[in-house]
Amino acid sequence: MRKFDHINATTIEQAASFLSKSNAYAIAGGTDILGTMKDEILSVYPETLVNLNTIPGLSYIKEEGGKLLIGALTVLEDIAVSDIVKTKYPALAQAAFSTASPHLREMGTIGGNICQMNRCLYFRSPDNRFNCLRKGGNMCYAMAGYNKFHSIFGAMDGCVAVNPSDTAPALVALNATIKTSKREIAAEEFWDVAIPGSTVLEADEIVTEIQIPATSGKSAFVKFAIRKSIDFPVVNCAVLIDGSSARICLNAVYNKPYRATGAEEAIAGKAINEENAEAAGTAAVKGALALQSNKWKIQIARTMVKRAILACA
Amino acid sequence: MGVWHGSWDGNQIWVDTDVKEQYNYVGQRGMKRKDGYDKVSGKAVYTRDVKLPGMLYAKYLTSPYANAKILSIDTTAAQAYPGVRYILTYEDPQILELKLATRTIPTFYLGNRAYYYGQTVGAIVVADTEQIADEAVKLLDVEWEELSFILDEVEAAQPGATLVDENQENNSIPYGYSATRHVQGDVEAALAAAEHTVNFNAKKAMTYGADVECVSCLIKWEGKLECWFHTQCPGRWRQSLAAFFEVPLNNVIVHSVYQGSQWGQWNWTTSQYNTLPAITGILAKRTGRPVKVLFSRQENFLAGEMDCSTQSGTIGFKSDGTITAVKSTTYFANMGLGPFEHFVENSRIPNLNIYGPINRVNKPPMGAIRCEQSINSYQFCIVNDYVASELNMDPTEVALKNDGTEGKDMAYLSQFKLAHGFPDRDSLKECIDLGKADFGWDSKWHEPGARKLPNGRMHGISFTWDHEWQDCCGDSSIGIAINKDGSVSLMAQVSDIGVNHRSACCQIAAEEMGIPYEKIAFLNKAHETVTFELEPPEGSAAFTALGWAVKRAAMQAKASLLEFVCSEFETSSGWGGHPRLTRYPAFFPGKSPEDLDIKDGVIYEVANPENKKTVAEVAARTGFGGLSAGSSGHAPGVFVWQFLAQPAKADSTCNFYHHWMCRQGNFLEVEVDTETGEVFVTNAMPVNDVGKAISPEAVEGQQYGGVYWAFTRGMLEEYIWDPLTGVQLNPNYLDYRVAGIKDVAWDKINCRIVESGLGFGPYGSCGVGEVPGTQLPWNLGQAIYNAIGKRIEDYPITPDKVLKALGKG
Repeated sequence: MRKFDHINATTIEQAASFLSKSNAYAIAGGTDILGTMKDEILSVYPETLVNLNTIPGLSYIKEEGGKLLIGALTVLEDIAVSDIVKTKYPALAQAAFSTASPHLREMGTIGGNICQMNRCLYFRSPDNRFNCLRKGGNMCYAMAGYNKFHSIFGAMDGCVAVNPSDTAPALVALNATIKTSKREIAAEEFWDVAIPGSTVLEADEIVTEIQIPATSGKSAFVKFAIRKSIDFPVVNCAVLIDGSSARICLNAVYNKPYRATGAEEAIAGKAINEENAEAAGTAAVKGALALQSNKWKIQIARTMVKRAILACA
Repeated sequence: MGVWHGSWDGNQIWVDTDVKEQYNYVGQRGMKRKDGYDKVSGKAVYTRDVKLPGMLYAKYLTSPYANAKILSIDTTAAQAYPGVRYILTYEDPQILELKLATRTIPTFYLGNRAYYYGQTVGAIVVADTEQIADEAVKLLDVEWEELSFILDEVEAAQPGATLVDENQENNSIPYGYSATRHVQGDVEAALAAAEHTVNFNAKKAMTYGADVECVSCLIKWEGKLECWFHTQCPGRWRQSLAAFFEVPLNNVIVHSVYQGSQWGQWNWTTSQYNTLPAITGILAKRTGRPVKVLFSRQENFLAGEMDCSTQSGTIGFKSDGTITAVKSTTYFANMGLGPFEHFVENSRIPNLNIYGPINRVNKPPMGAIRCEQSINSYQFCIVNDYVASELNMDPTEVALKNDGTEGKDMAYLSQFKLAHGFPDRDSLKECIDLGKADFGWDSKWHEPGARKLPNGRMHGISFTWDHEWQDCCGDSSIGIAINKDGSVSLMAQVSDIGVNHRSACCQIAAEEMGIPYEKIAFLNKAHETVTFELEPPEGSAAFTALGWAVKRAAMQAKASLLEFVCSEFETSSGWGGHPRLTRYPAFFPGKSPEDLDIKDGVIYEVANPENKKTVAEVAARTGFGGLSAGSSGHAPGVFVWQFLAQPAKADSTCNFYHHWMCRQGNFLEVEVDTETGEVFVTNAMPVNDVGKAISPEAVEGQQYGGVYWAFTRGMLEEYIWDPLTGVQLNPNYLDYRVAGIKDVAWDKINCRIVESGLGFGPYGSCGVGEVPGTQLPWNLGQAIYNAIGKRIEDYPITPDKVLKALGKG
């Protein structure tokens, strides 16, 4: 790994100030950014890492004002084992628990998990081997190359890399709000950005808190991964069924978390049973478009939606 | 004791006819591992841990292209980088000399041609730190000529295919493991006359070595040449280094430090293939400083692979399950073994025409990683299972119908066993009987796709069989000394390979010498300069070969000790030019060695057990351990050494010198989720006839480890190549998936051991290390077929392939 400057920020404002300088990146758990630096996947090597862990008061889970509030520096393991989250927002607890491995969950934060860069073997190839669209190049190598794990809902600006977060679809399904150093953003809009971005965050903007409205509904999260002990999702899915409404979000199927509105309409107000869940799963993948090698992911997505709905019974 | 057979085909082999039902140490459980504390405490030292004063670090330039030529390298900027000490390039005369000493596709070479993405090529930079070396490599100004590439082994075999090497007429490998064809009987006539025929097609993706420790080499050359190297054969490397640098062998030391694991490939190959120690040595010599080369995991991933092959064939068979003919072609990439050996070695199939062309592709060099028998084993398993399913027969019955050797049946093997001092036992039948009973095979067997479970998954089982091909061959040597306190030192150099075989050596020594296991130590570093090397060239057969040397040496040590206690002896003491000789009576006057025995460290008269002396009492009068104050002198200590060479089973053209008689049967039960294509292993039962389990726990360790590797090899591991650039896309353990410890349902693995005594190792043992991990992957395909009724012969069998077979992907 090459040399870089490491700055311990003590306040949000100070961190934002450091991040406003060129080629600076935030680090919290470091489980994503350090790997990208070690492999030198980016076209420009980060000069400075601004450590957010040294900012006090950003790790908490509490209920306040009819919302669940989670500090951005809360590690995933704490969310996974939290009684409040497990009881009232099980989709998020299950999503946190399914992320990576125990060691990584003890390091990785909820803020970092939703800010990680998209995954694609070309984008993340060591030594910046492929100057792909996501890096400002002029072609998507995966489109004509290896695309077994890529988008099944088309390309965004020509890129078929997927968002790999496990917690992101849970936050979308739970109708969460992402609070940053500058604003509050509906979770559903947090990743709605053109490439090369992964989130709508500005360079000097820092996630500070996750806010989830209280719900009496039932939620669930399911994940399909090749390797169970540690792996990014092939497809994951979070569902919230609250009375006659449903919010269903898939991830790892598109550049950003994919709200399966067709599935929501299919299951809303209906009994949760095998037949209706199956129909919702089919509705979720309506319009899916397979690349050369990822047709199987459509079947997986269909199944994940079905199983997440059934888990809400 | 074993007998030295004047045997068949002009060869000789050791066979142990001195076997018992029960031993004191051999075959016992609960022996404290000699290497256990080092490994679990973190005290074990690996090559990567070794740091020497003044040590420099070296980093290779690697190719960013799948096929390329270096036209020039300007080292000016790199040379000027602070901390850079030396840069060696392909134009150096000694590198050109090294090229002449190599053959095949040399690994870690420094030429101007790169044949695969990530190949070490062109230059190596030496610097004060690893980071500086890394930075400086990026400053090398390289002018590349990018060439077209080819990745597929079948395409590479076609006329007019893109050439890997523009100087060759085609991609056929002209050296090393060459294309092989084994013809036996008349296949065409047999297929024409067969009652049934069935075709098969199969593919296996490339598999990574997956060593725990990445490639590491450290050389210090100050007077003596000292080398630390992640290798399977330290003694052989000592010879290679001495020969290449033309230094006396007694001036070269190759240290045997821990390695974490050893899977073969570039670890055992000699300098003909692997030039890393030679290049490191050149750098150490020229800089006058110790130089260390450490590969990153990414570099390690690109250093060499195994298994890449595409096969197809036709099987002829009778209605009763008797296989009459097999004809097949298997295309290998860069390296392979024509998959005929298992048909020849352990079947009575009379007609074979097995062809295994090997062609170069622009992928890393192949080597024997995790056993080069995998494709041999795969095809053998396919043939048995396809015949069984075509006839709707139980595959265990097909197996018993076709067991034999070299086209001959079990009656012939029975004669062979009896003629050479073995028991006439039917190894395969014993494995099948034990496995079927414990697995509940008969109650679980069903036609393909016929059983859906209450959880909605499809149920499948499978059986595969083969021989235990890790028999005994190679040469080994060891020294044994009895110290003056009665403890025993085994002295030999051995690499960190296998499960616990240093402890198993101590078990043999304890057994044969009658000295408690706890009093026996394995001193691995004691003879790094003399090279008592407990490591046959065929690492696969390590323990069964080295165990012979230990057994013989231990017997000799015991005989020497008993000889000593029955004789008068003289000791010398004194100093300053005034030695004093003292004569002592025998410890057991009037007795001969035949009258005595040793048990639990006590020498006793067999006819009068009360007449006894401890080994410690006796050894106190011997010289090992030095003179103690006030002593009256010492006799020479007991020190013996033994060498043993056991011949290989066959020559390169498959002319067999002896037959392998131990068999294995593997039973597997799976559940298949037809909505996701996921496969769940619910019962894996390897039944291995190891002849004699010298350390049952070590055997089980190999079985558990083998099943683990079988599943990870069969369901997960897969190199990914970009078809447009030839770049390898997943050189890390995240995207190249190897099962984690929590991915395996260890409680679903049920190991079984059969001990028939039919091996050529000591106590009738044979090896087991490579077998389960190489054999059980193929159970997966057969079990999945039994579950869903669809064949998937394309490894690894991942969910996408299962879904595709089901019409869902």
